[in-house]
Amino acid sequence: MIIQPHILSKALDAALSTGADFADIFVEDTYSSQLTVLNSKADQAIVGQLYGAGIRLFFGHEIVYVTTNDLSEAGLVKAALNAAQSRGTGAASKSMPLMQVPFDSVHTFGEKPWEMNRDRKFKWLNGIDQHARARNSAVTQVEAGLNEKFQRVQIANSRGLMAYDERAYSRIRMQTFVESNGVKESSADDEGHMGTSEVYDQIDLKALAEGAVDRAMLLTTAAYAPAGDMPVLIDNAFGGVLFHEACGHGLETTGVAKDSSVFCGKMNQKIAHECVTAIDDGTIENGWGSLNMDDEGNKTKKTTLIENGVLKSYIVDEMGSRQTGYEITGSGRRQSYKYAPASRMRNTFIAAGKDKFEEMVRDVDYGLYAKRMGGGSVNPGTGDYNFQVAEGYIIRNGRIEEAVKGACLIGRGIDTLGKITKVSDDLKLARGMCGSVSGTIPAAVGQPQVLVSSLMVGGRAK
Amino acid sequence: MDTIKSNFQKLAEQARKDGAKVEMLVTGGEALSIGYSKRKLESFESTQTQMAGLRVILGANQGYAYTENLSEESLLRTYGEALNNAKTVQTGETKPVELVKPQAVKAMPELFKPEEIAMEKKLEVARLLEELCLAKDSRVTNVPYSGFNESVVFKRILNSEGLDQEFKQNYYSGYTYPLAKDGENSKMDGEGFFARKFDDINTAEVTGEGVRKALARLGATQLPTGNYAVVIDREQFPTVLQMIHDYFSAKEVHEGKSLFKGKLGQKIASDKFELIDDPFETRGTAVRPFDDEGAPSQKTVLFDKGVLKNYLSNLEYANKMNLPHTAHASRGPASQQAIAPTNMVVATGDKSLQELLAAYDKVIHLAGFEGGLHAGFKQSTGDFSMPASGFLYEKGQNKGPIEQFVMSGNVLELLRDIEAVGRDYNKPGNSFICPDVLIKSLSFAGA
Repeated sequence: MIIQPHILSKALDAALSTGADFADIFVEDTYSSQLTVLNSKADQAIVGQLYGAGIRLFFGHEIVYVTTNDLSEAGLVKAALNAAQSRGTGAASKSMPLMQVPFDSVHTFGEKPWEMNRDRKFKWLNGIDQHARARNSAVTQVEAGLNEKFQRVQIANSRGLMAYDERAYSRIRMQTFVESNGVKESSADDEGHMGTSEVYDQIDLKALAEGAVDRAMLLTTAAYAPAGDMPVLIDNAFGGVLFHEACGHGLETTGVAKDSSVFCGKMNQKIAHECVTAIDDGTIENGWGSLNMDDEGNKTKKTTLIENGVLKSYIVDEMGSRQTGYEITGSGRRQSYKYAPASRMRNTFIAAGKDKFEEMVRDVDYGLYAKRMGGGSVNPGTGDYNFQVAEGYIIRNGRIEEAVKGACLIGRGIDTLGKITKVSDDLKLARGMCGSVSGTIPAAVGQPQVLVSSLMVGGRAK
Repeated sequence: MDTIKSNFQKLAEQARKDGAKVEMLVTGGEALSIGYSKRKLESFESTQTQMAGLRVILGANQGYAYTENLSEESLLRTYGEALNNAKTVQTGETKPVELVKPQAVKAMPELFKPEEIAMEKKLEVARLLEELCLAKDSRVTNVPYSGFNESVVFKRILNSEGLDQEFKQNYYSGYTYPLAKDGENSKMDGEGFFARKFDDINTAEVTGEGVRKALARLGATQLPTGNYAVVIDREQFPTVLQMIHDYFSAKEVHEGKSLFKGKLGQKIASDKFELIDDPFETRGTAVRPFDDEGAPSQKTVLFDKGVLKNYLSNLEYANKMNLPHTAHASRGPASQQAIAPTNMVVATGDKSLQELLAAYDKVIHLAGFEGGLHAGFKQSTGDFSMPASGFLYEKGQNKGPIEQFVMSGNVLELLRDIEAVGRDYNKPGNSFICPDVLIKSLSFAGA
């Protein structure tokens, strides 16, 4: 899928025909595949293609966006004219001559999803099923799936940029159900990266399967979590989802430009404990949230958001930069051509600190160790958030003791940032899917273990 | 003959040669979205979409593939991929999967009435969704999210048994989320609307309610931990229905994932709880004359005086489990077939909201689930611990807003503990149609 430059230029000129001061075109051809093994049988195979273009016009701070599935010259020009005529009444201008940005990927891909032998893929999935069943006879069901996506995009804009990019994603996921002494529980886990699927030959899928079974079994005997304010030690890797939700979204210019973020007007001010440095990095090789260029054709960057507690940068896309004056960070992202891009996170994490995990545990008299976080949400206007704890333990007298279930963490982002009092030296990243205005996109979250001195834990009243 | 039909006939011909059966689901439509921010037009989006999803059946196995390119060449390639996928799948079943035979369906022409509305009028609705909030109260400093949408959607299903059904509808929707500030205290809440006629849109009402809800949250305090009686507001009870949504699926029952497995005909909820699935209820957004494999829709009783009366089925699982075929196949072009309810309608009782709130000395009026289901519901066990907000009532008097608490329990226990049901329905705009519901006791963790 390469649309010829002269066609893109014609469409861009059509977009600029009624007074828009900027236009861009995002063309996409995406192959997706989903294979599922359910109860030791190949249960599901779906493949498909997304094929379309989104054309965006700026009239000052106003955005006009249209989409089409017709990628012919006539189709693209017609869509661009419709967009232009829907709003504009001004004078026409011409786009700059298109100059191709060399395609230079920092990521390495192996066999494309449609090239790889399916037997190899099913071998991984069947392996997960077998390892889970062998782990414990209480397993009643195992579902394992492989989701692959290969996206090819072409972007051109009226400033003369023309760029091409390829993004591959692969994620293997599993869910297991167990029943023990009449109690049913379930647990899930996944592995994957921005890249192709050969990586699973190197990943310990046995450990993945057994870990999920063990966690589900643990829950069959766990008591409900207690309720109240207490110190909470949040584990590394996916524990970073809390920062992502509670703070990261508030740093996106999508919210900042509307004055709807609690972080508005706080640039260069102290917004967190000095032990907190936070980074949003779009450049990590084969990183889950990495991109060579963002969905506006801008090169992605490594952006320090918070340095030693001080706010250093927002997460800025084209329109965000226009509205706020801050420099673009290469953060314009979207799920597909069906969505106009918005400022979004990439690989967002709290940087490693100096504390040792064991010492952090020892410092807690009574609290919660949130080893695995589950789902959650944030109110973007206020920063109020909530998160499920998928695997949690009570810390008593400096020791991690019994497992508890049903715990939920509740707080306000900016308050919690100030209460992170210790950050360990063991940084890990994990994969997440982030949903917001421009759709659901892969975004990595991460952190070292952090100690929040006091956090509201929702459990069950006794 | 139209292009979709003539292209499909070529697929059906190929399927016959391959000894396969084929079904094509085509969905798409047009959508217009307009949003204002800081009293200026911020975004104007116009999208057209179309996608074809193919299901190819080879005996007991089914393969799927989809594409947005509806040319003959692309559809034939996609068919080949679906056929290949059907060969990959090995369910181990022997009974062939059937396609739905052509049958008459209820015409619902009232749902597709496109109107010629001037663009200025649509822009004005979008503008007012922000403006009226800002004008209403000086504590509303900002409306971070507001927007107007106009949608035309269609769904067409063709299969190699000769079935060809099409359904179109058009509607308007919108939302506004004002942010209210009082000193350092800020709260955001909002309101939405859903209308099938443009003239039914009432921006004053929507914005008035949005502002009222945001202001009502200011000054919220924490709730002491304990067990309380609770009235789940009619606008929030849909979240409870979402919890049990998948349990009705015969497929989920068959796979052992549903907590309703083995409970058909048993009284597992309060006798105050009556629930039907009604695909013809036009207040609901899941209205449809036929399901996603083309079978004519029908009403299905789910709970009658607390007794679980039916599972929901598609043709495959009705045959497999020897159940009545309730026509609840559910899928989009890019997903495999599942089974899901349409509009879930809870029968009303005879109590006003105020009467329910005065039922006990202390009652929590639960007015918001803060994170939706993924913030604290476990489908495999029915356990929930949901962050929530609302108001504390003492002897029927509102003692003020409360927040940052977690309501915990088990959804089956909650259904058993329904003590009374209100007489008024929630506003249209989703597929859950329900009144206020009083639960006698639930655990609340707060301060």
